[in-house]
Amino acid sequence: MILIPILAMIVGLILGALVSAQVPLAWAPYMSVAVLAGLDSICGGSRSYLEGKFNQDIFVSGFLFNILIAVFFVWLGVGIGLNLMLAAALVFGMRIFTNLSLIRRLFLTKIAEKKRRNETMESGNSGEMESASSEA
Amino acid sequence: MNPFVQRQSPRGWVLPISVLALLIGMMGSMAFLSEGAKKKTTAQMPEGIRGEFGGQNIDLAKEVVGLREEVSKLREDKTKLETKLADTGNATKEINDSLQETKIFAALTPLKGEGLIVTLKDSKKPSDEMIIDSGLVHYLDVLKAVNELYNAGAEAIAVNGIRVGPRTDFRCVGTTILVSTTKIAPPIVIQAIGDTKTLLGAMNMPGGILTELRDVDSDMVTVEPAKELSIPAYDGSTKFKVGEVPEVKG
Repeated sequence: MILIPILAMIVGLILGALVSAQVPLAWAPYMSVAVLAGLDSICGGSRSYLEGKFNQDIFVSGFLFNILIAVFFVWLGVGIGLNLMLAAALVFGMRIFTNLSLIRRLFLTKIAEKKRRNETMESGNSGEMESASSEA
Repeated sequence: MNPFVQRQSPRGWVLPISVLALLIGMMGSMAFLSEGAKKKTTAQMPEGIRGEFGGQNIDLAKEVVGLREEVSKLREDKTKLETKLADTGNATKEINDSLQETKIFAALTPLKGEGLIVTLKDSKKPSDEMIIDSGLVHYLDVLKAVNELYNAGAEAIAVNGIRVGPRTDFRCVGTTILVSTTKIAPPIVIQAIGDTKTLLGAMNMPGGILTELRDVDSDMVTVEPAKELSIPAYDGSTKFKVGEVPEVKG
């Protein structure tokens, strides 16, 4: 199931490359920051699913809002002559890292839990069989 | 166990995340492509301009390139008009010939012919082997080389594609060299039109101006003859603000 969004992103990348629509040079920084903001939202969404608290409304609104704020930041930076794009890139970059590491931890925990459950089930089964044989 | 886990259906998250992932994928791809296009545009610019803007303000750099091309084009058009005017009579033809000669002398026309290409590069030797910054190309090296080339009879010189005109100056600006208003950085390519042998002799003269650089690192200087060089016209300002031509009393 988790593979579907990854596949969707790969398809998106290919589609974008095939369409080869180029953003005007002046818009390029806005686009880059928007991509980072979107990536952050997707990572956040996946994480909240793994944590069991995914909410579609929060996810979609967060996605749009993050992109808007990021673009606004870049625009403001251009306006006041300060490279605020760096601030946005730094924050989103850090959040992506945190989210990805949390996703990894959650995955590992889940796998470990599954393994433990299987082992206890197996040992339970064998225990039952042992007790059955001793009874016989 | 988290009590919410049971409540969320898998469909609830897969669809929105997948759709937005697709969108972000497309946007990422487009951003990547435009970054590639930006690099391509920068690569197409003349070396001087590329160094000056360093890929930071592409739009401005593009405008500068456009304006310089326009200046060259307008000057060429002016020459054509002058020639056309000259076709109408003998006297005007002579005036035009003299005008064109003056323009060639003032570096206002492109020029082609045999000559020499001198390339000055920073030394790649480790800095601890050298005294202070002797491994770097300084503006004085460029200035001396240009002066020496003129001395050896060079008729037209361009430094990194910028024509050296009557009012071209060389200055040191931090880590770069300023040719009039354009920043350049090593490798510095000096093209000179003139008698190849004489120019070669001047550049390779023992104890000449390039000896110092060659002593530090022989890789810093390359001098190669060229059969056909083409040097652009001077594209800087030709306005005079203070000087006036005195009236001839007659």
